[in-house]
Amino acid sequence: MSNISRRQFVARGTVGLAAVGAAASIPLVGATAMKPTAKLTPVSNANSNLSLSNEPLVAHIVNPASGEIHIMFGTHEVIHNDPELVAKLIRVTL
Amino acid sequence: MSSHREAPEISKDPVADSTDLYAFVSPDAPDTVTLIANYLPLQLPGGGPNFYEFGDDVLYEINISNQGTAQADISYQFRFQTVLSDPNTFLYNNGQINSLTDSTWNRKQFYSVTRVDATGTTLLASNLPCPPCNVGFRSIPHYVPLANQAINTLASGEKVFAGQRAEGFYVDLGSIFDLGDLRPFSPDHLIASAPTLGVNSTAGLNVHSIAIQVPIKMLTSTGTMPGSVTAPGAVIGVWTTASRQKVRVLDQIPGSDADLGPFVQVSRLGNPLFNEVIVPMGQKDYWNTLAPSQDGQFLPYVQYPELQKLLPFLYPGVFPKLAQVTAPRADLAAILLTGIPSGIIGGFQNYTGSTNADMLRLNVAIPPASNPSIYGILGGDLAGFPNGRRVFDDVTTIELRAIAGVTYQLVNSSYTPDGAAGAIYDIVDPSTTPLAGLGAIGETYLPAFPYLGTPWDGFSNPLTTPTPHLGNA
Repeated sequence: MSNISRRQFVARGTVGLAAVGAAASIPLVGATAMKPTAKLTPVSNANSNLSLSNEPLVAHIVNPASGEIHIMFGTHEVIHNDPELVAKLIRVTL
Repeated sequence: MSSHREAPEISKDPVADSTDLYAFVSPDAPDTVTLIANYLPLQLPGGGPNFYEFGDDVLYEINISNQGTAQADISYQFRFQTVLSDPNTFLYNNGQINSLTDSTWNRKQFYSVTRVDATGTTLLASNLPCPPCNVGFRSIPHYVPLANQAINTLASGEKVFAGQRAEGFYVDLGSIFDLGDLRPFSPDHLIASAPTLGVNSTAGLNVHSIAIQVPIKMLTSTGTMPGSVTAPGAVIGVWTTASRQKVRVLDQIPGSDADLGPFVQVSRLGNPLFNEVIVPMGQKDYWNTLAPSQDGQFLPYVQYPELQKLLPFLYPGVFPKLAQVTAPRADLAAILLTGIPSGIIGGFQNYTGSTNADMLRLNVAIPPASNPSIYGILGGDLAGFPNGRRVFDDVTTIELRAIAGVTYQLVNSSYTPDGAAGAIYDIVDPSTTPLAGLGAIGETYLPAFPYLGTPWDGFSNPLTTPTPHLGNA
């Protein structure tokens, strides 16, 4: 990891929850797959539509048992812990 | 090779593969240091129509440590952007290129330079042009003045260039990777053959260089030009890295591929041949992801190098004293991982502290040599490798001889190296070959920035004719 990106990542880590909240408003695996969960800042459908970003993102589940989702967008990565959402995404693949 | 294709994963990713790193006090501007990071190894000059170029998706960095902690106190970042003028032709150029702005040049690259230091992140310049690859005299009648148009002096004081250059590193690949043979000494090899002259495997090949010349006072921790070799801040550590974003999503819709996530390091280079020869195969890819400050875990490979054990085996009876060495090689650890402290070599030190870290270490208070030796410090030239590295230093033979025991005397005065340790060489004997003698093995260098020679052109080079000449200087 480059130093500058490492610095950015550390800085991001301190505002992780806020970043996750922002990411939650971006479509994940299709617009309907990502819905607010108890772990995320609740976002109404109307608010979600208003704050949609045109930037793509990728959610990477390294280890489903951990309940963690690594969300990559732009040059950033946030780690979101949401076993319920992980389970839901896994069900989509079955 | 120095670091060309030196690890399994990066060998599959040439645009991010760092090949050589140079750091030296500029011979024609001794109040500056020139840093050159090469990428994209082993370029055939005629390799069109998609000639070589930097990766738009790669973050290239040249890092400088000046506080003795092996951390990047200064980073110069380089990002590239490719512009295709006419997508409806297969041609790189559809006419002669006489200017960097000519519309006949269909695929141009531009780059930005950013400096990251304690004051923050500063964009120094953007949209700087790279020169085209040297296609041939029909396409580019006058390459040298064209490439010179791509040398820019920034308002902040640095001089920069990014583009194709002639490969400056020389090595006999076909021999040395064939069970460690050195052609001139083949009769002494375990599998003997007749002696022949060494062959420069990189003659006639090109590389892509990122070169930056920086006023010394902009690199030292004191912000000044050190007054002596032992002055605080006289030594800087340098390494280069290439990073890619964590995720790439390939899509079948043209232009819709996506790179996402933070940049992660995929290539690193400090001292030549470190990852190539010191680090074992199973850890080379891992090493490429690390920062120099994490190199302590590789100390045993430096203290007990595999090549030290191989030499007495491959050359039976030639290295009897080396075969008896069982102590850790503190000399190699100093040269490669900490720098050489004061008191070891008269008038010299490039010690950066106790942190084991693979960096090129340059004492910027050592002035350029008026009569440089390609044998570097071992040749009595304190301005050469391993005091930084100049474009012409014979790093292969220097490191080969060091591992063979020549430098072990520095830390063990009772040790007398084998006679062969100071006699073996790869292509030329650096003890007796002047800098000008490298022309005979196909190496060309420039006396001024960016110092690496004009790239071989596709039409006339050692691979196309036994008597190549640059037809478009």
